[in-house]
Amino acid sequence: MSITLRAISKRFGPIPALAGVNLDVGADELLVILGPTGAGKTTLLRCLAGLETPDSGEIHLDGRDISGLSPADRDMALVFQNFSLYPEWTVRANLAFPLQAPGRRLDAESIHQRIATAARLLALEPYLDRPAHRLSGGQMQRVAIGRAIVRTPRLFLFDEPLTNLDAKLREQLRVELAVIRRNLKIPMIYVTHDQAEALSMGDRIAVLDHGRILQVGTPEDIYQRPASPTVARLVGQPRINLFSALNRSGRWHTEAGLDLGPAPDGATTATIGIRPEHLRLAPGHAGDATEITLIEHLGPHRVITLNWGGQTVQAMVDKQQVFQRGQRTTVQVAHQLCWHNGIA
Amino acid sequence: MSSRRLRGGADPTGPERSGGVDSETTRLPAKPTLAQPAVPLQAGRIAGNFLAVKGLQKRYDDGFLAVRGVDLAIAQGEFVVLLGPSGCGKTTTLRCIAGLEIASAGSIHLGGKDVTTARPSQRDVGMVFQFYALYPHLSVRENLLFPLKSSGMRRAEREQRLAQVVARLHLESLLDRSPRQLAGGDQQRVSLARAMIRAPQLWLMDEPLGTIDGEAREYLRGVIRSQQLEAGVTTVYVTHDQEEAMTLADRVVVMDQGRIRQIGTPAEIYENPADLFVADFVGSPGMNRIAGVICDGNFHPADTAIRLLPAPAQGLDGPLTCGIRSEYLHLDDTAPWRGTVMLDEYLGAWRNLHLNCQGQRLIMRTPPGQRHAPGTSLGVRLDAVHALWFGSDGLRLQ
Repeated sequence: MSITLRAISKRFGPIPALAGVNLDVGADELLVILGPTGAGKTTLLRCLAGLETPDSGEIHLDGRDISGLSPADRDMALVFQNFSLYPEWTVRANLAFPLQAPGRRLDAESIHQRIATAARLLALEPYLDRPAHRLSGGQMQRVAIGRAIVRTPRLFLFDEPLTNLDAKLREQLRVELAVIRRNLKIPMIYVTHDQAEALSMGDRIAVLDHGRILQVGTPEDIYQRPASPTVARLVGQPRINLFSALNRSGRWHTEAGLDLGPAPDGATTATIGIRPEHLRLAPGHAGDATEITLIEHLGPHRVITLNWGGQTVQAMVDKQQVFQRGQRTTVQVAHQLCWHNGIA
Repeated sequence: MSSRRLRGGADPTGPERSGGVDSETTRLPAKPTLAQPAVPLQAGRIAGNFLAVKGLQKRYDDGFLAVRGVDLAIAQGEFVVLLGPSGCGKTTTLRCIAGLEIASAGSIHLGGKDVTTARPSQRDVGMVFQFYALYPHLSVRENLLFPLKSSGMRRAEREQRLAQVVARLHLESLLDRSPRQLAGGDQQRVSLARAMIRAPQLWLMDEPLGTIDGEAREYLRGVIRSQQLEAGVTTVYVTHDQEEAMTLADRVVVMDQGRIRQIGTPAEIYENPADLFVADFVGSPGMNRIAGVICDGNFHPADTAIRLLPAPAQGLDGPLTCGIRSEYLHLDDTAPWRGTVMLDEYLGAWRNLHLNCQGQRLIMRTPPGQRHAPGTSLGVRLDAVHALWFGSDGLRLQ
């Protein structure tokens, strides 16, 4: 099963929600669509599901144009941010419901089998006879995912399924979902604004902003070789430090005179990006211009905010390195990204 | 979920919620620079009890005991975060401090005065909620000035305060707009400004960033912290997000089922959790736990004969849980304890490697360039000095 989107555009009144989106999703692939609020992610998903009609463009499933098919005939399973369960029904009845649609003609035994498989994958076996309203938020979302899985659809569409859950639960379900997904062998399009979810789960990530695809690549591509400063700022926590730089005698300098490393011949201006983990700090002297303004303890590492020659930057350091607020430091750049005129 | 009990409610200063606008946020100005605190925080100050909560209990009309005896002593100028899962009693505790709920038992003292039964308006607190509480029919400017006018402040001083908060939160372009015209992040910025235009005895914040994503969230987190440091206003902040708690707090109060599990600095609750609940809830990922037994002076992972670590003390025997953070686990081909790779999560600056070690699931922090395919078998070594020990009751062994 493969999906191809060609030049999908969609406007809502004067606002272009999608502007010529091209995408390919391979069999077995989990493609994450990552973007900020208002990027067009949900509109794209709804166009795929047949809940919105694109103004132009084509959607192909295994080479066949499905633009004219109804949502039901597309055989895609959607999971939303807000789990839509029947609260009075048991977990079992909620899972059985999508299998009892008139067109399906599944016998009782195969329905039972599929529910058993989904319940095992999602660790829902102890709750099968419990009414949905008596479940916790995480359990409800697992049932909602279960309802998508039992159908064995041609394609899964997930729209921020973990967003409404507690941070802790979100992290656990992200891992469960990734493990389950490997055994299903059904392609999945997963929409999120959460960069950790995107990096952790995606086989590939498509970065969407203002209705346009900015970059498609593996998580490593997107993080290590972002096509633009905009993409670079969407992945990584804390965010990448960006600098406007000028070439002065073969080295990149900020306006304030910070040296950001060697510049190639002929280049005049650039945006330089330095990830927080690539800034190396060491204790400095009283006269140094670099001062620590904030230290945040984030478990395995610390995030240090510093005033580096007039610019506020963030560095990620190992927790074994001890610093104080107000301390002067020296800064070394271990690795940098460079975009000439915004393009790498 | 018990949203009726835990969310929303009226701001004592009055207005209704305006709608959940979810469009694009206006471009954010550069990160706020951090001023030095007006009241510098020294270790000695922490012991103060500017806000003292003693034996606080709250039972709702339906009989549910949401808070089961909470004791807090908060110093002036301190930033304290109440952290816990939904239903742990953190919001109810905050609402009792605000006076939006009246305690069923216990006492609350603020600035040396008993305010246990005082009305919200008598407590001199500024509040921010998850849902922006702005007057939709007033402009942003009028919304900001409202709390000052109602306190009878002179016009010149009101204007001066307004100018200050507008400059700090970069609200210049929003002043004459209606809250209805603003995106969610901007509405919450105005709500924060409205609380921060005054320097009351206490700022109380209930998941003020809960509905805001991404860059706007980080920006506002920085604004809250820098404003708090600058104004020196004692702050109690509620969240379920441990990362938010770790980055904001001078001290974190970890709560579960209406009780306090532990109070400590972010580093303390991370490195020295009092029990398995705190060990698991704090940190991303939570602490690994290895079930096993002490036998002949050694700790053996459950169902193995492997001597993983020496026993933590002499004379111990029987089942015990070893807790260890993901950064204190290492790959070692010569190690006798082996695990199978279940999942290798790439997270940019590092990886979380998920292993199944003879039935026990572990997460190891590994370098970003080191990739392991699912199914690979790997040896696991522990930094013995960083192993923590927990009894069958879940409490840390001392």
